[in-house]
Amino acid sequence: MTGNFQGRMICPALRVSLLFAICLLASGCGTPHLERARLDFYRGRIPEAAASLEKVSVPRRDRVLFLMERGTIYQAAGDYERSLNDFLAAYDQLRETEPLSVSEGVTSFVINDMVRSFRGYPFERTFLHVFAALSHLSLGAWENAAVEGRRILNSLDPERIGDYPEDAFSRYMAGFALEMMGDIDNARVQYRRASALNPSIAITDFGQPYIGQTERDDAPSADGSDSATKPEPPDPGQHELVVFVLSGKTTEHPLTGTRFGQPRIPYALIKADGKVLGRSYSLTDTTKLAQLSEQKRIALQVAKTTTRVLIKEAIAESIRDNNESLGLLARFILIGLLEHPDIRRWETLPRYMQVARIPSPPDLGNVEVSLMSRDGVQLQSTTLQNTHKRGRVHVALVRFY
Amino acid sequence: MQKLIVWFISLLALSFFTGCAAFRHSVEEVDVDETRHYDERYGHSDLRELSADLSSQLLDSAFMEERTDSPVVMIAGIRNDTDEYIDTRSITDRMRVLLMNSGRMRFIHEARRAELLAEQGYQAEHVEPETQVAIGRQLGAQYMLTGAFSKIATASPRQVRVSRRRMNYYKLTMEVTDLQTGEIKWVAEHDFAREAREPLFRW
Repeated sequence: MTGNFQGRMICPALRVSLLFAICLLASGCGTPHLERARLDFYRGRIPEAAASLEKVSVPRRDRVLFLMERGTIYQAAGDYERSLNDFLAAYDQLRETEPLSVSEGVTSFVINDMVRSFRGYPFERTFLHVFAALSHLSLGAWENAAVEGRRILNSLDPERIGDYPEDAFSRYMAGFALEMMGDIDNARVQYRRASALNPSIAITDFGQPYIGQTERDDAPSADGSDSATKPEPPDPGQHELVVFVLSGKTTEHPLTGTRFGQPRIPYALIKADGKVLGRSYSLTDTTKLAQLSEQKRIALQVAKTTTRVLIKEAIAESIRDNNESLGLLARFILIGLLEHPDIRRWETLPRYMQVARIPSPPDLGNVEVSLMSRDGVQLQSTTLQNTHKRGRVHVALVRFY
Repeated sequence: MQKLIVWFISLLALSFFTGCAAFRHSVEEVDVDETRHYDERYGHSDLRELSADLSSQLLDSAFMEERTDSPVVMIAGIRNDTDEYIDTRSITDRMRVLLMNSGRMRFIHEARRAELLAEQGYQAEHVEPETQVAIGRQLGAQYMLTGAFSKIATASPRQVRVSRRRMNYYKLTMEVTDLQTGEIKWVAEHDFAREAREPLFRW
């Protein structure tokens, strides 16, 4: 009798323990290194952020995200080669995980969506190529930048992107990369499409952004540098400076940086030897992009979460039929501990992705890029260190934190 | 539960005793002439085939037939117009090997100009005059070999199927241009397409 009672107690207990162990193993632990690196990154401690991720191993399902984040950190540290290694490895991994995984799908119905391999939103997959292109441009590797430009366009194919939003900066980057390889006609197509995607910023056929005449959704700048006049096409011999300016944090609340609901987007003012050459214009707000992407996914997510909770309830109930306490424990583990949303995101993305395309002297000299608030206050400033020239176009990348 | 454990142990024993190939690491030599493709993308077999075919086309062309001497050529590179990281320099390197080995073409080493000048400069300052190479005696190229590599990719649309087909079409166009007149003296192309069927699901 005692033996039977013990046997009846142990069997369900063993089942629950086994269930708990499997769930724990499948759901995996967090990635503390990545969290720490993100914190360091946004505090401007870039070398520390890069060093903390150097020899870290992460579960396969989080590898794409890890490579994206580390690649961004390496890029910010000026280590473009290593950033490219990571971005290209992330792309290869995304290709491998393109077919839907049966095991991951089934497991995600019992545990949570964190067991699935991270693939990101469509805009994150596009940004993988955008950032790879930026690294190539920072190395003067024009042809490789054009390869990534074409990959950007592939990723924006309606078959791939579906109803998810696309952004102007990605189109602009694709166009610019093609322009640098002499494919002017296709570059113009991309500039026009980028222009159509952003309600406040227009882009000429020569890739010059300016404040469009249509709807304006951000406040005018204090220094009056918002020019609604369409720039003249550059003269054949005119040199240009193109600066890609990345600033802010993608994880900011959408209302951050607004006043009475009106966005107050900072911009970069570019000076050479003290003389103002021009300013940047914001083509993409990644926070808004993420918000729109989440809205697209939410209906599907709600349905799946409801189904998963019902399945977990059924499992807990079946254990509870044999033993009330174990059933409650199983319910606590399955729903209380393991039921949480998949909030994985590419967090080291900048919030604002901007472009400045301005006439410049043939020899740049000392070029200062200052991040300005709408009220005319200088927030940060840096000197251009690394520029490359293709024909008459200087190209540079600047990141503010 | 007992049945499950028995099944599990049986499977483990089976794989142990049969030396399941899935658990063994193995290495084998592969003949480089053998065509092998694991997916629809450009691979080493394509490099060998492209370079061999285009070199052969050039050597058999009217441009070469008309010549009584070996033209001096510089390689300006192949432009990569695809969305893949293709080492186009490997293609021109291999073509150079095949063309030079034919004995009917000469090449200048444009990629090493900086090193050549550096060595000449070093010799002019530090090397005994009788062993120095003469400055300003480099061979001038008469022709330029260039090319463009393009790709068109298509995929089957989303359907209720368990697999998806992807097809890539590649085309390499090569030309020889007269450096003096700018005239294109020879042009040829090699194209091929490959289709792969990919599962929509994986384990």
